[in-house]
Amino acid sequence: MASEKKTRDQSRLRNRWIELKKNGLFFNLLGLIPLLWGIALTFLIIWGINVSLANEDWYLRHMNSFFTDWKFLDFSNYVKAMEQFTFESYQNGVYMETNYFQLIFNSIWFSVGTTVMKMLSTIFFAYAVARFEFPGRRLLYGFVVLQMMIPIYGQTAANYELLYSLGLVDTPGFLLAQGAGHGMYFLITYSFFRNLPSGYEEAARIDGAGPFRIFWQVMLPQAKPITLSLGIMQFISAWNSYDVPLLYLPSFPTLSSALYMYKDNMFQLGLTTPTYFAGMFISVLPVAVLFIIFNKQIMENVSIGGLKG
Amino acid sequence: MRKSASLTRDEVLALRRRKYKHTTGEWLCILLLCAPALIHLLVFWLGVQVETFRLAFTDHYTQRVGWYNFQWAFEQLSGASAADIPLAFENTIKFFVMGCLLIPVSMFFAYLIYRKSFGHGFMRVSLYLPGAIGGIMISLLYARLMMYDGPLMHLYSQLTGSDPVMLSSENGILYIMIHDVLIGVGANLMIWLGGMSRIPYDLIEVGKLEGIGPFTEFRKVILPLIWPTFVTMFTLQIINIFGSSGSILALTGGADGTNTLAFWMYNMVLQGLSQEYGNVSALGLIFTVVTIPIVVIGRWFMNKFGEEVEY
Repeated sequence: MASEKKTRDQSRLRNRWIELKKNGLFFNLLGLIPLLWGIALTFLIIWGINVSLANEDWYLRHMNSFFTDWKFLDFSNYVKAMEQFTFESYQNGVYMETNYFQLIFNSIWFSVGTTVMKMLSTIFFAYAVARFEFPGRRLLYGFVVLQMMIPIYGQTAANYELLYSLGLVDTPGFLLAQGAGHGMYFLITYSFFRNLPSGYEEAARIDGAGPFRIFWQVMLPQAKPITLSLGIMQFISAWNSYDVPLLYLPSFPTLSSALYMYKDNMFQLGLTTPTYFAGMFISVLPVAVLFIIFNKQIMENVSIGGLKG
Repeated sequence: MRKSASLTRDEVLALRRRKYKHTTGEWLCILLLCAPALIHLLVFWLGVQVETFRLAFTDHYTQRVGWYNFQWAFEQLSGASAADIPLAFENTIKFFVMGCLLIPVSMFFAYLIYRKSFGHGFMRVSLYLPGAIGGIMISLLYARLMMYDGPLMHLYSQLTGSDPVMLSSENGILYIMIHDVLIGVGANLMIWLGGMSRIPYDLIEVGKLEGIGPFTEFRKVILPLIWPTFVTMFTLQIINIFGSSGSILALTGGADGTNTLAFWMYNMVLQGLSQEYGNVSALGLIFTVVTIPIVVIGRWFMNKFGEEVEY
């Protein structure tokens, strides 16, 4: 059994070697560029983790060292980060304190809410436009493509004014504005529904299923992989977004927006760099786990072709 | 068989009625499924467009309707005032050029990974993961690593014998661009790899049997098949020509000569400078008008080089 495995490994290595040889020396040398690029990025993260584990006193004396002496590693920074990561702010003259768990809570409802609003709106709209013939269907599709092709700049001010006048700034109601059903996600989902064979749909119709039942129980389950992939991408993007909560939800700081706010005044707030870095790494943990689990699925389901309009 | 052009009006209407023949339940389904997106489109898209025009054509102080904000915008763009709009414009173009160059670079990196170049598994994760999971985290790590008393500047100082480089208006934009290039390559990687993984293996196999090398395979097989993705990526880059702000907010907040037009507009709102909202909107509309022909010409140009391939 063991010798069989050894032979298999040897054969795999031999095949890999032949493959690399076929690619040629120059091609393999070119491959070193992204490899070094990846090493540089990995180094940045390893360096950050290392700082997050450094003893605070040691770090203050050796700020320009790349790596911490292992004798001065301090895992308690992660506990301290959760205790000390309190976000202080003044909103409309009122002092506000948001602790680490509230920051996590804000990040969760903002990211989940944004994802749910956007995905529901997108899937509903894409399904209707892709699978039903109705007057204005082509117009709607063309409009979505055109809207992507013609950017209108300088809308932050108008958007803020509009949301403010609707009473959606600095309230969870802001999520309503996140439910755009158009854009790139629409095109990807539209293309998926358009290319879906109608066999199951026809069979369900013959069995007497209504349009809602066909959508919910026949078509939507088939769209599960693409929905999951786009949903995860949207969730990660919302979790990492700091400029949007900063502008539209100042009383509900998320982990990302708090990290941004902390970067310039962490010393005034009594945080040290190692504790700050520890807080930073805890904050990206959920999305890192999500990405590691689903990265293959995201890549298999999301691809951009041409924009036909 | 008659051509559709010779159909009578009644026949056309009858055909259309048959095409759009749905039960009440189906019409209700269409209406309800479209409703959230359409309401959003009406309120938050159309509403914003109307508000943009209202702000752009209204003078903040006198509330008079006119071209005041546009006059201001043209004065700024001609460099007649001390504000840093011309510098922001220059930086915007630099970001655009950088973005355009990153497209073929990231495409080739993706191809190297696709061809299973040495260390491809590591490359895929290490290039994409940092930007995907923690944009702000990477920016903050980069800022700390590059700071005046940080380890990288210390190493630089030791190697060159000169003082560490301090962030200034002379190197600010370079500082941001290095960061964006470092992260940006990985950002598009997933899309390229997704496109390449859809290429039928039969086509690759035929090339291999013919004995073509990796460069010929890239030029003759891969590139034509992923051309639609290339055109789309390039179009999106052109569309965002005046919208790029890189990681300015996280790294410098617009200081040290790092403003771009998009960031300047965002910052005006973030600072709550409502007197500037009209100027922001007018400037935005000017650049919108400038962008439309660029997008049309750019797409026409790209489509001239290759046709869309179905596979």
